[in-house]
Amino acid sequence: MKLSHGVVGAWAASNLVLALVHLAFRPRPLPFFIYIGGSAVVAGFGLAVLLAMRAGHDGPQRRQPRRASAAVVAALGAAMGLTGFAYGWWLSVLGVYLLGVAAWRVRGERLRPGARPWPVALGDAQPADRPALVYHGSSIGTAVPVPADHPAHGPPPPAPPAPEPSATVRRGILLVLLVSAARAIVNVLKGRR
Amino acid sequence: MTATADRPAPVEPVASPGGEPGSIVGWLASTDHKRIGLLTLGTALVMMVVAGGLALTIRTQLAQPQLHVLTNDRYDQFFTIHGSLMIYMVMTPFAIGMGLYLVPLQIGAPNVAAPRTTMFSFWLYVTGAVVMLSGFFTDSGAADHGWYAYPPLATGRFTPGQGVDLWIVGVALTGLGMLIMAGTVLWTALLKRAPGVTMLRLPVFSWSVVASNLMVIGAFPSLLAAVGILAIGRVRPDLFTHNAWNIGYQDVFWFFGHPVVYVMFFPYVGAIAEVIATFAGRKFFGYKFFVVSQLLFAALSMSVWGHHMFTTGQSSNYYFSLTSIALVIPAGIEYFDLLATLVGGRLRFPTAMLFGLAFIPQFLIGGLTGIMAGTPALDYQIQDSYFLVAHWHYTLAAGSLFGLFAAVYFWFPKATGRMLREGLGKAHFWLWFVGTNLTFLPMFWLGFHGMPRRIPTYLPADGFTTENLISSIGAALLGLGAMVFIVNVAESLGRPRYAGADPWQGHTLEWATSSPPPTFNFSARYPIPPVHSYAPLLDLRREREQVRSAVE
Ligand code: HEM
Ligand SMILES: [Cu+2]
Repeated sequence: MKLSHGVVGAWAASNLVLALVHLAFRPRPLPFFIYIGGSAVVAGFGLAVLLAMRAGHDGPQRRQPRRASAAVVAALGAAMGLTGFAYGWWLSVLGVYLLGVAAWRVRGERLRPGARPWPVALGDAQPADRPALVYHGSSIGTAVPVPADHPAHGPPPPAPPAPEPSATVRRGILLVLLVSAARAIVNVLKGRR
Repeated sequence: MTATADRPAPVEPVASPGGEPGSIVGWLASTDHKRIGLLTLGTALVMMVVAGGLALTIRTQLAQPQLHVLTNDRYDQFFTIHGSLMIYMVMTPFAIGMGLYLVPLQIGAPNVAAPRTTMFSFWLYVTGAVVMLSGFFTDSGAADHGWYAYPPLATGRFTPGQGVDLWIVGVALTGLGMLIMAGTVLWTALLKRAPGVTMLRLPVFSWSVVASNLMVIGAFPSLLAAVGILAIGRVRPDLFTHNAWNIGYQDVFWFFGHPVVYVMFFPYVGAIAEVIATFAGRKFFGYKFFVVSQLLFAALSMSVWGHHMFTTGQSSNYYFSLTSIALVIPAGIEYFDLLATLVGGRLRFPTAMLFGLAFIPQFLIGGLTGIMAGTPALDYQIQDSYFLVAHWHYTLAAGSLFGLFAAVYFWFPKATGRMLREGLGKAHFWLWFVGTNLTFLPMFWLGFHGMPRRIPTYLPADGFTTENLISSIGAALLGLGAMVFIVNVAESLGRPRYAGADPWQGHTLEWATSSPPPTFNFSARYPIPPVHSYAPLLDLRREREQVRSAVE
């Protein structure tokens, strides 16, 4: 987990180094400061990741918003607002209205605190209770079950214990098992897959 | 839903966030990363058809000397919008959108972080594309200053009319949208992984998304600044009577402009790495080297933007040439890993694999000619010639675009639950393989013989005719191939052949859940299997084989 912000930090730092190397080539000031600026933005992102982790916001997110209509309206508002640059300020004003509508709509899009999405069995967590908001298949077509022999179901159950064999038989079986396991390993090594 | 003691039946009555699952609202205001992702990818494909149509028209015009399919003005608009669409509206959104669809699945997360913000970013992208294209319907036509809009040409003084204004607004909207989308996806990859999925167990594709989204965060604010400068210049053209602002714009723009080239590259390499590892039936070779070299590659590629300004004489050419050529090292490592994964694998050759394999030599041509262009002495020679046009089309069209289709053929069954037809897929592949090389290889010769880019026509005496004709024939094959692909998609949606959860014997978590995955990706019915490496399903498959052979 430590790596998360480490990756961002190391990346920003290596950019900083490259920017400093640029100094040896006597750049004009602007390119140099652009590079420092870009690295700073990334460093800021890394810092946000670090703070979020400190605050315990990592790990799968359970509570999910139910729809994003405010986002749609807000984007349309932003688009109208900017397009005013081509067609005149009155369009921008209309855009601001849309942003207002978005701000009003945004309330209530989030599930109540404590509500959990329908069974997400992560790690050792128990699946939640009755499905509240559920549909199978989120896109075109319908969900198709995982076939029985699919690895998602884990390795097949071990063979049922055989009736207690005699000591020699047991040793024989052990030998066969060892040999076949060794062969499997040799095969894997040979095939290098 | 009746209450029974049994487990829920596989197909249940549905009640979903934001209306009926299949309804328009259920899609357009969805908070499901898979839907937002598919909307982004679908929009990018539609934009690709538009941009491709513009390119085919250009190629028609250039097929023979002195044709007049397009007026000179229209020609300028066509190549500008072709380039702008391909870069801002096709390859970049598709790259980031793939991350949006796949990363939460690959890391076992139920959704992307901040799904509403992500939907906001999708809509910024769509409206940006619409606004840019709407330029064609203004009196002065669409923008015609090239995809990087250099001032003073792009100012109100030299290019009046609303086309340029709309171009600026469109790029600003999409640029902001992509910045936000990359941010939420990166946040998800860094913070929302399922227990057991450590950073060093992230699949190769997810790592490539991490590297590329880091670049987006570092570089895209610069794009917003650049179009901001341009917008001021539209209102006050006098700004650009000062060299500082002209050359300053170039710096600010290319600080975005080069990294975006790698944003249009990394996720496709990541996708190809998954495709090749899967169809070679073995783990991706040299995982840690790949991860480190991707990160180095990304960091380094922030420092090379000045190679677009060699010939201005106002950049530190030695520095930028040094960093540009240093890019060969991480690129070489990636190539080595890809090839080493192939060697000794049990290869299978479905369409996705073919596209992935063709990428390797074709991108190499683009990369090697890129080193030529990264050498100032040579660049003075080939700058603004068709040699350059050939170079970047080998990287982007013959390279990344092949990666894009490898990804489409590979993950289509996961996203839709249906298989694409292999026969049609292979027809598409061969048409494109031949078409791409026919179209772009002759352009190297055209460049050497002195054909400048961005000219609407040429004379018979110029001696450009043969190569141009070959190139245009190649482009026709590309158009044909695209149609085969569209037929393929229509066919597989109309007369479905259902895909199981894991039609290819994939390696990563998305293949453990149903096709298409349930709302929150994994459920009691499709749980997340244990993750011990970056190829968890391959591990499980092997474990099972070992148990089996030990039992027998
Ligand atoms: C697949 C078929 C494609 C064909 C036939 C094609 C053809 C062309 C042609 C003929 C030009 C104009 C050259 C000139 O007059 O200077 C051009 C320009 C360009 N193309 Fe493509 N192209 C294709 C795909 C792509 C892709 C996938 C991208 C990538 C993102 C791309 C990016 C560009 C750019 C950036 C320009 C320069 C526009 C400018 O000069 O401002 N093209 N293309
Ligand atoms: Cu570059």
